[in-house]
Amino acid sequence: MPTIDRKKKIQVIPIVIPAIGNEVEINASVDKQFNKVTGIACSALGAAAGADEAVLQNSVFNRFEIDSDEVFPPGYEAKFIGVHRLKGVPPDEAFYSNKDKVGQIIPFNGNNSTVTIKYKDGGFVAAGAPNYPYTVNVYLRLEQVSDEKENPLEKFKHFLAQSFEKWSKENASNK
Amino acid sequence: MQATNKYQKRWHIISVPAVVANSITHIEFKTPPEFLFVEKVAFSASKTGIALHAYILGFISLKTNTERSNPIQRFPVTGIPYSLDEAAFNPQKLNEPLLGNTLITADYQEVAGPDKAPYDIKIYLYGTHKNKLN
Repeated sequence: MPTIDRKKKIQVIPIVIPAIGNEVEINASVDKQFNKVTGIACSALGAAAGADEAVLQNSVFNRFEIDSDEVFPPGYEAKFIGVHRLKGVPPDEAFYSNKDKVGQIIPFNGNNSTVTIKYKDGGFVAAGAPNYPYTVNVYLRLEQVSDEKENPLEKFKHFLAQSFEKWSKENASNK
Repeated sequence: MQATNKYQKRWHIISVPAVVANSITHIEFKTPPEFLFVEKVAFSASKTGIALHAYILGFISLKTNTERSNPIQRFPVTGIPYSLDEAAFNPQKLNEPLLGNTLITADYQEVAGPDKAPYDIKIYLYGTHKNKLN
């Protein structure tokens, strides 16, 4: 009997850009069945043929927050998380995520968190063809992550981190 | 008891508007004081109404204000990175870490000429914030 992993999901937040240079703000709630947002990506569709990638070129996020936690600062170019930049890469690897020193993803809160996005169009116009309106899809990769306290490896990692932190403080005060 | 060994990560953007064709632009900035250290640096160029794509528009060199430092290296600046990681330079590979509140001087050499310039460039800093995650 095949098993299906129901602990991951992609949530799509569409943002319609009606006209050139428009700034659009949108609020959405993260699916409450998933407690972490582990990846973010975006793409544009509906613009003139061949312009889907170009319309993201000079467009920026002037606000991108999850539960008031800043994900990107104002002026962050949308092309940095555009999926078009990674041609041929499997979809699950095309997401942006914050990572710590050892490459482990630092997720944002899921579970009905409020996502606030303010997108400003960069004003690209393809010669001889209309680009507007077009839609920017923001993709959130959602995961249901089990409680770290139940995972023996995570418990050991936390114990090591806690011990190192304590040792560092003791050595700093002894100098 | 759960230890919090993870810190917030943040982006910081330095904008340099309207770079002049065939010029060298001198830029000075400080890494954000709220950063413990900078982990990645990335560069991007943009121009309203035009897609610059992967065209190499110029080269940027960075230098920290320490006695031992040499220019970090010259990096190409294009209209679009291959990917965030590939476009970014990792300061952790330096002999000394790039800390917060550190003065950086940069020189951007524009090579694309009047066909592309003027355009704006952005310097992205990605670093570990002083705030710990809950």
